[in-house]
Amino acid sequence: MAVFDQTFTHYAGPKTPEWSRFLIVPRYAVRSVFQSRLFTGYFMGCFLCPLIYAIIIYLHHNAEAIKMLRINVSEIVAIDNAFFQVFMTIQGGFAALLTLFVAAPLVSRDLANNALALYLCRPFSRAEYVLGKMTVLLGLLSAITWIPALLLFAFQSFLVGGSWLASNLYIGVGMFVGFWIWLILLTFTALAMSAIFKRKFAINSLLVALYIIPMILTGMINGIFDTELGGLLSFNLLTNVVWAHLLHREPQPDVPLGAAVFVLTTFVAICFFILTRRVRAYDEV
Amino acid sequence: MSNVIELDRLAVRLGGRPILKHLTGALSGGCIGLLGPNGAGKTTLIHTLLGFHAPHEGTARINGRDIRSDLRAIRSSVGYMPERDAFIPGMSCVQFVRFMAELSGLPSQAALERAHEALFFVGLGEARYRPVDTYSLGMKQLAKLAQALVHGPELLILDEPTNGLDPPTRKRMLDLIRSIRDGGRSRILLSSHLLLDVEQSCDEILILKDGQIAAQYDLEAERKLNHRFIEIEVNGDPTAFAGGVAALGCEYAMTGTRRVKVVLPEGIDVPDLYAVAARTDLQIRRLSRKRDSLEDIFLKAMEFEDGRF
Repeated sequence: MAVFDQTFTHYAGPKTPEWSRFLIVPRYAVRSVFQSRLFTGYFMGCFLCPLIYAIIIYLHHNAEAIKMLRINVSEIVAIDNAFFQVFMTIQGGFAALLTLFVAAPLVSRDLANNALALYLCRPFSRAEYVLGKMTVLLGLLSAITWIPALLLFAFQSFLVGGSWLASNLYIGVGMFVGFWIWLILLTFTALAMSAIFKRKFAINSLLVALYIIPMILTGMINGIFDTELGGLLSFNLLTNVVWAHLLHREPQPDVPLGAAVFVLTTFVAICFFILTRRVRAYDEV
Repeated sequence: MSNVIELDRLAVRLGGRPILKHLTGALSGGCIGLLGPNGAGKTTLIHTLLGFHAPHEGTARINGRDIRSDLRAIRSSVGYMPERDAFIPGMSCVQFVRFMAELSGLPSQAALERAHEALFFVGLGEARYRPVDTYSLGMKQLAKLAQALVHGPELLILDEPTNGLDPPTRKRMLDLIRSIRDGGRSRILLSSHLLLDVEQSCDEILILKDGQIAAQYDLEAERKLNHRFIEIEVNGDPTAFAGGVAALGCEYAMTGTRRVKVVLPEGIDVPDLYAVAARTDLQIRRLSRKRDSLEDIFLKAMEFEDGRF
């Protein structure tokens, strides 16, 4: 219909598949996120570490380059599980900062402007809404975490050969699983905080506090009681424990894997519960 | 016309408190007015029809689809304009309406075309590239209407669409509602406190009171019925006069000490009333032809059995 024909008409054309509609939310959200030059700059900066890692891996296997630079890279750094664990720690930190950039307005903006009723009066469920919002974060975080990690792993495997891949397959699997644990933890925490508070400052402050204060408490408890179980309070330390187990490294702090997984799962479940309570078209008073 | 909304012993409790109490009825109007005082359950009924609240007992159907089992299909066929300000900040209006159309299942390109059309239809064509959060209240109301009808719903649910609007914008909104109604492509459920808005736009009304149906009227049928209402103001005691008009076969009601409302049956006309007045030695000071206004219907529905409100 032409725009000058100002009458109300039904829509009789084709419709998109129902399963794909949650992807509309990240499409619009990502577009709006990249309108910020600061964020775009930061996002590009997140690929600096993978680039350096790729160069190191390349130098390891390029005798001419090593000769030209007059260094012996293999003596400086070995490409093993420790090498990739450091990569995970660095990119995990970048991921946490990226969450601070993106997450705050995801749910809070809709709640503050009563937009949830507009989403949920359509053939679009609460689960699809949460899934859509999660996809915004998971998509961006994946781009700087497990995807470059697996590309680096594949690059190393390609340069060394099948035998290295076979004997170090646990590193690839460990990075994939470990990063996903971290991303799910970050995503659920951020969305739950965004669903509770309306102001970006409050949400980001609480997110920082959730990760910093438990680390301080952990240090105090471990120091006073001469134990390492204080680490159970800190989500990032617990995630490090899980990563260490996945990469066959010595966990630091020495917290049992089962306890770490239990605490992390419980925390994600609490965040999920908060989301189910807060993501509603209208509050029941 | 077929039933658009059927209520089948619909009961809703919120926080353990009964809000809707076993509503039963069928609505088939092209534009249905939903009336009632604050707290009567109008918004709860709308929210229940949209699936925001689960029924405690009973059910309801929209165009034959059950809200308990066909909620997704219902939401595909319904457009909703909420009472409160509702928008997504940071988006231009056309982006906002397009986004809503896509959530309703329209492909991206069709959604964009429909968003432009809907915004021209509601009169926001020239302002469609401005961010919604910079709009005035009236423009936001029109933007909400645009997002509600962008996907061409079978039923348009409008919750207080003229709230806070200045007279020209209110007129524009009512003109749009009537235009949609007269187009016949979409049925409308209009919840409003403003009786005049409902009277001007609706052909059927449902009045809720304390979570129950207080009255249901087919306004169009009422208008078509040739009830000849006469309102008379007299000088003196109208009791004898009332007895006289009753003897003529007229229905009457005394509204105050000097006023009588009379419904004239076939064969009886105004001169007969003057004759009765002369016989009972009563002076008629004013006589006007008047049918029951929506206000009368509403007040009658709100009245308790003992005459209190």
